[in-house]
Formats: sequence, structure tokens, C-alpha cells
Amino acid sequence: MNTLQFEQYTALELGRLIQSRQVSSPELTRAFLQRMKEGASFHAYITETAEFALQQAEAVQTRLDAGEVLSPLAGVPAAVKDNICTKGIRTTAGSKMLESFVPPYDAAVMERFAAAGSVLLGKTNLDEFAMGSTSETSYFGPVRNPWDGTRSPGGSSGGSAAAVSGGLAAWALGSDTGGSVRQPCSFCNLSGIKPTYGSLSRYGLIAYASSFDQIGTMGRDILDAAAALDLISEKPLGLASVYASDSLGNIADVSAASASAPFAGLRIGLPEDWLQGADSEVKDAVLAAAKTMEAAGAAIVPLHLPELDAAVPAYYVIACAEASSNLARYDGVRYGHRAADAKDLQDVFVTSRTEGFGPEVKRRILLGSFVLSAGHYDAYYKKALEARCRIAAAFDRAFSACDCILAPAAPTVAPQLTGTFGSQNTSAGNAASRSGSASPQDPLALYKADLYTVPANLAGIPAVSVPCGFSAEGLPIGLQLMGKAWSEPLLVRTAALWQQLTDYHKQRPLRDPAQRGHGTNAEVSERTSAAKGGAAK
Amino acid sequence: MHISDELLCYLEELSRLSLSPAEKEAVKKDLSDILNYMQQLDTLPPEAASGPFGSTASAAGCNATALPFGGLAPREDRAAEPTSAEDLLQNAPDREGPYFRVPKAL
Amino acid sequence: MTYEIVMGLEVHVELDVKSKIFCSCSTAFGAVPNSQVCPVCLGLPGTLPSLNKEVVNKTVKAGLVLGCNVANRTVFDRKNYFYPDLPKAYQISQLYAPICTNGRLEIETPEGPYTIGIHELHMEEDAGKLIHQPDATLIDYNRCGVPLIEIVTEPDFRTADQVQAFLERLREDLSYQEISDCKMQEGSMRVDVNLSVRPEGSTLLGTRTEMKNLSSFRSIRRAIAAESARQIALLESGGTVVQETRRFDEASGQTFSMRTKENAQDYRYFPDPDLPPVKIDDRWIARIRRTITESPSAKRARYQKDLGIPKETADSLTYYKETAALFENTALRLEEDAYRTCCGIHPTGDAALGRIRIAATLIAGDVLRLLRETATPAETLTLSPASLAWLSSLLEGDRITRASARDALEAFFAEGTLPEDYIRSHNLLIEKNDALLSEIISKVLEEQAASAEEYRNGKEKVLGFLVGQVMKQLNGKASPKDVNRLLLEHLKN
Repeated sequence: MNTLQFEQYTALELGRLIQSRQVSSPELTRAFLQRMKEGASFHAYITETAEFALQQAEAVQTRLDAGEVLSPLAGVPAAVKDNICTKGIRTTAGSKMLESFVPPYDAAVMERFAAAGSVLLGKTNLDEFAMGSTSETSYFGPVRNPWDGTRSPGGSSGGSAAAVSGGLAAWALGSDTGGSVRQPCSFCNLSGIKPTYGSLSRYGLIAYASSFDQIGTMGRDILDAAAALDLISEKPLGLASVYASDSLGNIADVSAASASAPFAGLRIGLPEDWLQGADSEVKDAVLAAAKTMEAAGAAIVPLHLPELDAAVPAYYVIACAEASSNLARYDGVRYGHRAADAKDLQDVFVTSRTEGFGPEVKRRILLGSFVLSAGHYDAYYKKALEARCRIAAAFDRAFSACDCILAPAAPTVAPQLTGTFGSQNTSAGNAASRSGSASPQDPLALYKADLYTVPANLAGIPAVSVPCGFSAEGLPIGLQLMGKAWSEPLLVRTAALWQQLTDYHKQRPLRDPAQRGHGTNAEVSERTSAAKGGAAK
Repeated sequence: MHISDELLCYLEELSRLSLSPAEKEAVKKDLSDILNYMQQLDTLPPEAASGPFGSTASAAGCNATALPFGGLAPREDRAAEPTSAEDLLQNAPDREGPYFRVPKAL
Repeated sequence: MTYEIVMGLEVHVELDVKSKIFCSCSTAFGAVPNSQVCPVCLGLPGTLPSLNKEVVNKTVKAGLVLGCNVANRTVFDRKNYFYPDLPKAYQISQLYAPICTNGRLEIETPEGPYTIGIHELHMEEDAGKLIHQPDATLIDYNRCGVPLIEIVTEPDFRTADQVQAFLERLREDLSYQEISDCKMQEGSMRVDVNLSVRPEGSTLLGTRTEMKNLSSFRSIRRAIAAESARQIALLESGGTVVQETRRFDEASGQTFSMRTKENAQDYRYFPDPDLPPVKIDDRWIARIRRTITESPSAKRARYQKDLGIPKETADSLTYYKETAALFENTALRLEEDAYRTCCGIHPTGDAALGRIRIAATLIAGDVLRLLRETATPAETLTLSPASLAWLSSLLEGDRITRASARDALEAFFAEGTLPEDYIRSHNLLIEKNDALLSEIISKVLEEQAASAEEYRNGKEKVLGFLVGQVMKQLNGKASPKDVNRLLLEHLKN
């Protein structure tokens, strides 16, 4: 195998190459480790685990050679977001607070990860404690989007997205509390799944907002994401029939529909007034996707979901409330950062936390303390819970009229890096100048940009994000499909059918970081025009 | 919602955080903007509600479909071997023998 | 002016379960510091609680024993505050939907039965332990996550006696049902007293203060006396009581302000998103109800009514669940023996009843005294019903003396010698031999002819002296009853 091109393959393809002995897991792992060196400027990883990866690769190869039947992704190197605990491997959550924290336990998904014969390349960069949507709040510095190094890969799973998109990992684990898997997938031309809340154990996922936190998977196409999800699931979600077919790209065995109208019988809900919140390029791409699906036999069902207007405020009230409590344990006593010169116990608490947390985390803790505090609980927290119920009920009603709901994954394409974010700048002056300046990334504007992703977290329903076009600048656009609880097979099947009709997901960013600029190079323009030329193959 | 100096001080105390004077000004504005925006919640007309999301939504009382719960299932009363104390103390910023150690608590 | 004291209690009781409430660490008392901890109870990032079902079982059982309504659905809440003994910086407790509400417990008072209302009962986790040193504080998290129930009473107490009677009754009921051992000295029962005073006859409640973590009956009584006196003096001098938490200082016998309500903590309680609501259906409640055994007060009543045991003895027998069980198993054995010997005609024949009453006095007297004197925990008592039944039967048949029985029990507590072995090896069994006795009596009466004459002339006190002389000849190995009987016969002749 030509190791120079391996990142063009999907994870499932790489798995098959390993199974058929065309490449060994250690060979593949060494190739990815090499690629990680070349792509270091993406800043996708906080901690690289080269030695451990090679050990795992050797071990899985031995198991495969002994004839053991493992996951279709056995031996394929992957990346894990650094808010998922790994035994004996530093897990930082992107925070100075946990800069040197080494968990004495594995997250439940990591036990599955190892049992399935996966290879861990490293722990990926993220917004501090997953609080953010640009991967700029990381204490370890911002992540760069492989499609355009001046842009954010999205967040909070930006490191995982950059790693997979830039060929620094074959697939990755992320976490999705308010869109942190789906939105970076949209910005990096990847496919991602946020499964039903509670479908995977979140033991070992460092908590941000417990009632939303959900581990998800990210891959080069939806089949990779589905295979990865199956790999870490304790209970099968019924996805194997979709991704485990013999020939590449052939999913005919999962579709009862005819070849000419693969979407026949599928009712796709389209909340058109809700789509008005997106940039026109994004909106147009999603509407075009709806047209393509309709042409392929789907019934488009218009939806009106006014309850979703309350989604962002409800989400931030509840998420911040839970975060303020979840992050109270970082007090400098048992683990994590302790202020060097604390003179008394209160000082240990206050100074350790003040030094250990960045501005966005502090803002959310303060907000959370406020909405739970005496006299404000009913007006904010309780009201947000009510709104949450209303939104869940609205989805219940919607899913009696349609099988899934089509929407953008994000209202825009990947934004420019601001260059001033990040809790590395922990000095008061820096933080203040950022917050105080007329930065385009004022926190409220960023919160509002989560409008398309937070409803699925509020209702606990599954959602997938898959590529559906490129902007004029050549930046990826993703669409989102939401379904009712436990409808992952339907969502994955629908997304797989979509990918059979289109080739957006086959596009890769330019490989040489030196050629990466503002999206003006020839190759990107070509892709843009290819996308404009129509979605259908 | 206006965030006064007193209120911000109170929130800092509850959160065990201490902001610099410059940070305070910025945070007061941010919190104020965000909380004003959150008041959009008031525009949702009330509706009888009861049920999902485990304990969180039950406080609100909610009628939507019950969803899976995201935590661990209850367990039987069996004591397991404890984690090695050394493993747990390895991350301690300060310790004394088998104890975690902090400046004197009054 | 005369004042009335009004009190309510918050009692924290450690549940008697093997593992902690949200993880599988052991709850055993007194282990090496931080040896009974894990990532969950230490609150490490990413860890999640998993509820111990037995905690729900025992809490529901406690609620049923206290006559509470048991909720069909109950929720855990987080109580947020920073303290180094609290690893997550919140305590998992219950505020909005406690598991049991609206119960009652009847206590005995010199004025008759008196009912204390139970406002609610809820589950929560214990915190760790701080060891204060001159220059630093050390933390041991072994107790952290040990399940507690908090019992909140209505403000129904008027005297310290009522408080003590309530706590004793609570200890008894909960330990009998194996809900908690309620050992104040080990901290498995801790008491907060809320106290206010008001002019006699007033129906309004005064401003209350709270005294936390009182750990013995003595401290509770002293704290109540000191705080009520303080509040009365304050009101008498025209002052007002401030709602606050006060600490009782053992050394000075005074209470001191800890924090007032103005700077009371804002705990920001909210439902814990990591724990599912607990659904307790009526069948589950019924199943728990069936595990409730006879209460100690019912036992006392039964012992008095059916077995004719005096109230004081019945009270003593039931002081520990273990002593009551020892008594009942001994009685069962004695009844079976009687059944066998009487061919089933009189299952509780008079002989058995007599022996059972003797067993009762042995347990209420010697066994309880020896438990106390040797500081033996009741739950480790290994004295067998067979041994006690044997001793009781021998005593009833005059085959050993009361003193021998006592010595045998003392030897058991001191060295673990079986009473049977002790009696035999010390040759304490009395031979029932009237001929031999008569011979010795005749001899004694000959030697003490003067005394015998005095008796016959009406000086009955001399009898005791004569009995003593006979017993001396027999080295104590005779039944005083037999000696008495035969001596009287001889004296008549």
C-alpha cells in the first residue's frame, strides 16, 4: 500500500485492507504517526501516544494473525477527544486545571475501544471542558481547520475533526453536549453521529452538562461513523447491516427501496421557517439537498416548530447550571491545579480555580451559579426545564408526521480564528481586552450560533451530520438529520443513501499544509464548482 | 437583568472565583446580555407538562416521551475491592502519608 | 414569666449496608485512612454514581417503621457547597421530593404515651473526615459516600427527657430492624437540635437556633439546658433571638454562634442529572413491609402479658436486639424441652414458664451487666441459647446455685469457657440426696443444740444460721431450698 495516500481511504476500507493482510496495523499506525508530525500545525492533538499506539497495533495484529474475529475497524488508528478519560494517559479536558491529571481508570467507551482492537494515536484538542464551539477556548491553544488554516474547525470536538479531516487519524471519538460532534463535522466535511442520549455509557467522559453530554463518533463518511459507534456501544444499535457490506460503497442490502428511487417511502420533515436563521449559502445547500432527496423518492413534510426558538436560551440555562455544579469539584484539593502560594483553605479554592479555568468556563460557572441561586431558580432554571419539555413534546409531534427532520448542522461555514481567544492568555488583561473589545465572537453571538444543534440535546434524540456542499470560498457545509430516540439505524441508512447520491463526503482538503490558504487555491475552487454542478452524481 | 457589583461579587463567592477589576466589567456586560436573551423563555406560553430526562425534567413536570436515562443503573449491595489508595493519591497536589492535605480549615 | 421550650430534631443515621450509597466501596468503620475510596466517591472527573438498591430498601423500611407515607417516585438533589471533606463540592441529598414523609413515633413519658411527628425522612451521602493539625488539615475520605438517612421531626418536643426517650426509641426500632446500629459513639447516629422558647400558653413559635452534631445524650441534655437558658435570659433582658447555627462547646457547657441566617449558604439545590428518579411501586413497598419484624415495644408487652415477666426485666431484655433474640431462642428451647418431657400435653407447662422467667432474670441481670462491664458489643455476643436454657433448667431444679450460675457466666465473658464446662469442671452440680442431707442436718443439730432450742422457742431468725452451718458442711453443694425444707422437718421433730 502506498502510505502517502492512505488517508484517502475510509476507516472501513483501511479495516478491510488489514483484514486482507494488504497492510498491517503497525505499518498503518506508523504511517499515521508520520502524518501527525506533518500536520502538527493543525494543533489537533494535546497528547500524542505514539508508543502506546504501536504497542496496541502490535497486540491487535497478533490477535488478528491468531484468527481472532474483531471489529471491522480492528487495527485502524483513531483519535480520542481529551475529555474522555484514559487510564495512565493524561486527560486534560483542554484545561490548565487538569494539565497534569492522569486518570487511574478508563472511560467505559475506552474499555470497548481496546477490546475491539482499536489503536489510540492520541488525545485531541478541544474547547476547555468542551465549553465552546470554535476550539479556541482550549488552554493548549486553538485548533486549525485543515480546509483553511486561518479558520476554526468548529468545536468543541475541533481537534478530533481536524485530526480526521487532515488525515491525522482514520476516525475519532468526540462528545456532543450541544452540537460538539455535528458542528465540527459540518465545518470539516466529515460525517458524525450524536446517538440517543444515554445509549452509550458516559462513565469517564468529563462532565460539562450531565443531562446533555453524549459521546459521539466522527468519520470520513457516515459508514465509518456508524462502524465506530457500533464499536464503542455496549448494546448493538442495529447499525451493522448498514456498514458491514462486502463491496465498498454498496449499501443496496439495507435499502428496500428501488435503485431509481432509493428514498421512496421516507418522510423527511423540513422546518423551513427555522432554516431562515442560517446564512444563505448554508440554507440553499440544505434546501437543495431536500430537493435531491425528494427527486430520489422522499416525501418532504413541511414542519412548523416555534418551540425551537426557546432552544438556545433553555440549553444555556440548563447547561450552565449543571456545569457550575459539575465543575465545583475542581477545588485544588484532590487533583488538578492548586495555586502555588495559597495561604489558607479559601485561597486554595478561589485562587486554584481562578488560575485553573479560562474565561469561557468562568463565565458559564458564574451564569450557572446565578440561575440556580436563591430567588432566580424559578425564573430561569425551572422555566428552562419547562421549555425543554415543550421542545421534546414538539419533536414527539413532529415525528408522528415524519421519519426524520432535515436541517443545517450550523448556520455558517467555519469561522475565522479570532487569534485572541484561548485560556492560555490567563492574565486578566488579556481576558479583559478580549471580552471588552468589539470582538465578532462575543459570547452571546457564539451561543446563538448553536441554534441547529442544541434541540437534539434538549430532547435527547439522535442526530447525524453529513456533508452537503461547499461555500463559494470552498468551505464545507453539512446537513443534519434528526430522528426520534433510538432511530440511529434509520438516520444512518438515510445518510448512507444520501452519500450514495453525492460525493461531497469524498472531498479532502489539500494535503500539504503549505498550500493551505484562504480557500483561493485551484483545487478548492474546482471542488466548489463541482458542488455547484449539482449534488447528484 | 442588570448585574450589579454586589451581585457579581456574590456569584464569584458562590463559584469560588475571583475576577480582576477589568474582567468584572466585561463579565457584567456579558452576563447581563446573556441573561436578557434568556428571558426569551418567558415568551413560551405555559402548557401542562410531566416525565422524561430522568430527574432533571421531573422538576418541571413534563409530558414528552420518556427517554433513556444517561447515567448508571442501580446496583446490588456488594462491596468490591477498593481502588489502591496510591493510585488515587498520585494526583493529589499535597498529601501526608495516606491523607490528602490542605492548609488548616477553620 | 414561665417559658416553654419547643424543639425539633434532625437525626442523621448511618445505614447498615455493606457498600456505599453510590459506589461499591466498603462502609466498614475504622479502616486505614483513604483505603475505602475509589474514583467515584472521590469525585474524580468523569465518574458517575450508581445507586445501591439496598439503601432504598432500608430507607423505605425505616419510613414504614416510623409510620411514614412512602413516595412512589423520589428524586435525588445536589446540595452545592465547598468544603474539603466534600469531594464533588456537592452533597447528593433530597430536597424537592423526599422518599418518606408524614410519620410518627410514640414515646413513653411519665405522663403517658406522647407522639412525636416525623416531617420527613430522606437519603443522602456522608462526607469525609477532617483531622485538624496545628499547621494543616488532613483529609480521610473513607466515610465519604456512606449512606445516611436524615430524619426530620416536627417541633413536638418540650423537654430534654422527651428528646432522650425519642432517640432511645428510635435507636431501638432502627437497630431491631437492622436499618442502622445507631451508635452515637461511632458517629452512626448524630443529632441536630432546633430550639426556640416561648411564653407558656403561647401558640406562636419563637425564633429558633440550631445546634449541630451533638454526639451523646449527655451533650444533648447539656446543650438543651444551656441554649434554652440563654434564649430565656436574652428575652427576659429585652433582647431578641437571632436565627442561626450554634455550636455547643463541651468544655464550657455554653453554645456559641457559628453563622447567622444572613450569611447562610445558598446551596443552589437542583435535581441531580446523574441519578434517575427512583420509582417505588406498591408491590416493592409491600415486600419491604413483610421484612419488618416485631418491634421492641411489642416484645415488651408480650413478655409481660404472656410470660408474666416484670416490666423492668422486659425493658432490659429488649435493650438490644441480640439480648431479646437470645431470650426468645432460650425460651423456645425450654418450651421444646418441656414439650418433649410432657409428651406434648403442656407445651408451656409451668415448669417451662418458671425456667423461662429464670432465663429472663439471667439475661436482664448478669448478661447485660457483663456486656457492659466487659465492653462487649451486643452484636458479637456468642452465648448460646442452649447454654442459657441449661443453666435456667438447673437453677429451676435446684441443681446449681444462683451464685454458680453467675460465676459460670462471668467465666464465659472472661475466658469464653462454656457455662456447661465451667459447672462440670468446678463440680458445682448439686447432688439430690435427701438421706445424705438428713444425716448432715442431724449432725449439725446435735452440734448446735442450743440454737435449735432457741428456734423451737420461737426465735425464727436462728434458722438462717443453721442453714449456713449445713451448707458449710456441704461446701455449698446443696440446694438452699432442700436444706431449708429438711431442716424444718428435723426441727419439728
